[in-house]
Amino acid sequence: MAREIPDYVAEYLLERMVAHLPDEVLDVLVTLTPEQIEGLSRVGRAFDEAECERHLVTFSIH
Amino acid sequence: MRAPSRDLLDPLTASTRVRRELGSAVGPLTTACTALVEHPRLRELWPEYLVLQHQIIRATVPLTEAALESSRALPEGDPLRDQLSAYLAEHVDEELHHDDGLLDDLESLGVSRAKVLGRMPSPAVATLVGAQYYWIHHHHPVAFLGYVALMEGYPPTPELLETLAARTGYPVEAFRTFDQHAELDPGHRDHLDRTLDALPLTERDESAIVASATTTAALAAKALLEIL
Repeated sequence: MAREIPDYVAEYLLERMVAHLPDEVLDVLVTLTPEQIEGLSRVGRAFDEAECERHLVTFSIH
Repeated sequence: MRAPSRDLLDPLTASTRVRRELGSAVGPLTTACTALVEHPRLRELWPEYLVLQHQIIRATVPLTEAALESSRALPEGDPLRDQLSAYLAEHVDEELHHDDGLLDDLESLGVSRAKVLGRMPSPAVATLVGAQYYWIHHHHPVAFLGYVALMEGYPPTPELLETLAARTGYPVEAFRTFDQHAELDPGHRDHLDRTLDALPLTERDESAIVASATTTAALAAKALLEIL
């Protein structure tokens, strides 16, 4: 369902997502052009369609 | 991108801030866990992994008791003393005999208790646990909450258990402790989060908890990668 997201909410969501990225990755991402981001996005969609994206797991017992 | 607005972040609770910092630091542990699960020799490595976990988990109750003793010894006016001590006392009960469960799982795989207990833990395990003793005795026992935040923060899921059983071919008896933690740890994690949010933590206390949590994540990853 399409939603109107107010700018201040979008800004908050962006901050929350960015908070989980390693600094090294963020440093590279901010240097990319819109065309390069589109290329990354196409690769991501191809992985989604192929359903072969690596399933990362984190677990610990105590 | 505009700088993040502090006004939007300030309402976050202490537990959310700690979990967010931990989430940013847990990448190497994710890499190590994923490498274990995807490893072509997982069946051979699984007993090694359980031995490693036993070496870490056997220290949980003594560590928590050390933190409890230090907490109770804090000056009477220390704002954390009573609530922290109450949490740690309950946490000792939550963790009792989990190391025995791992020994049972290992026995079901043909690895005797004597063999497990006779193995010398690696420097990475000693550093992982030893750092906590240092902070408990020489800084403040509140730092130990960071260790608990990592260890209780990522419980195994039922889907992971199914994957492990399928990939190793081991019987369900080999995963009893994992199964137990999948059920219990989410509740323990919530207990810790409620405690973090209720304690009158200063910025310094919270920094100590975050340092402890992120150090634990890094050393747990190191210890795991060493057996792969």
